[in-house]
Amino acid sequence: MKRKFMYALVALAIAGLGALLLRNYVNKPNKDFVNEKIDFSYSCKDLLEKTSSDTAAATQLLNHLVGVDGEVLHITQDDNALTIELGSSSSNSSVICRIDDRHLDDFKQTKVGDRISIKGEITACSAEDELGLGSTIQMNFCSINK
Amino acid sequence: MKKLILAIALLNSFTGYAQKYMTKTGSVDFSATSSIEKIEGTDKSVACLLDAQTGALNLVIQVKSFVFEKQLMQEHFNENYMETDLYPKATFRGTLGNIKSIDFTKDGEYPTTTNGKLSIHGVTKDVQVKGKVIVKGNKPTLQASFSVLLSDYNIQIPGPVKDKISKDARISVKCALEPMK
Repeated sequence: MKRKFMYALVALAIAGLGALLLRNYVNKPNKDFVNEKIDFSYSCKDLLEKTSSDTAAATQLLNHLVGVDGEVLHITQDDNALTIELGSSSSNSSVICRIDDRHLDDFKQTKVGDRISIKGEITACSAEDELGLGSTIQMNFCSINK
Repeated sequence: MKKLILAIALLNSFTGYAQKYMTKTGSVDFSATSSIEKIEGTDKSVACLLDAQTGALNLVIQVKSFVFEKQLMQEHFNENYMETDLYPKATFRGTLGNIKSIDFTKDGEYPTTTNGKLSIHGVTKDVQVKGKVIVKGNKPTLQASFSVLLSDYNIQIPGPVKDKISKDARISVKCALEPMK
């Protein structure tokens, strides 16, 4: 009787632990890259030149954590989301950095014209310039590159 | 005479540029929320180009740039449903129907209907979208919301999660445009 009770207790504990692990797995938030080491580092100009002249290089950068130094061209604040565009006013090519919601405060003082270093995961490199808008690199989960 | 021709050419060139508006930080919100689960993603890096003379409107969305609250949801969106490695982009190419009735120099809200082709997940369909153009300080902002049936774009929802995901997705677009350089 005592043994059966122990078995039931162990089974219940395993099931509970399994449910907890599954719940944590399903509800896991997106990765925070703030303390992660970058894979590559570029100036905004070099990154745009590299990806527009070499599409294979652009593809290789996808999903990598990259640091980019550049001038802030635009800041778009929309529904608690912050997007910073790095580039040059003389060109339509630019790097679009969607700031990680967890690190919005780090960019409170950032303004257009500032030079800044941002790191983030590259999600898209569109070098084909299909709309006449120049090359575009898109990065998500961005934070300050310290 | 030469100076006059040059001045006219320069003026034409200037007005030609001023008639196009663009952004690379437009916003698209996606929701396939069902009564069981909240499924919402946002992409804040949408490229949009509007020709104010012809009404031609182009949007390019890099699907992988959508951000979801949960990592697993984001992975499923990219790998299982949208298959972003195969179909990285969604596009809309259309025309604002009543472009001549929009005064881009006068603040106001202008209702509009846009007809065009929406390409998602490798499938292109004709769509008609009602929205509005809000002009403020000579800058237009486009806003529209519409629904798409996921099955129309060959997006399959596996049986086990069928009840958790809405059969149609609500899409909201907002693009604050700037005069093109």
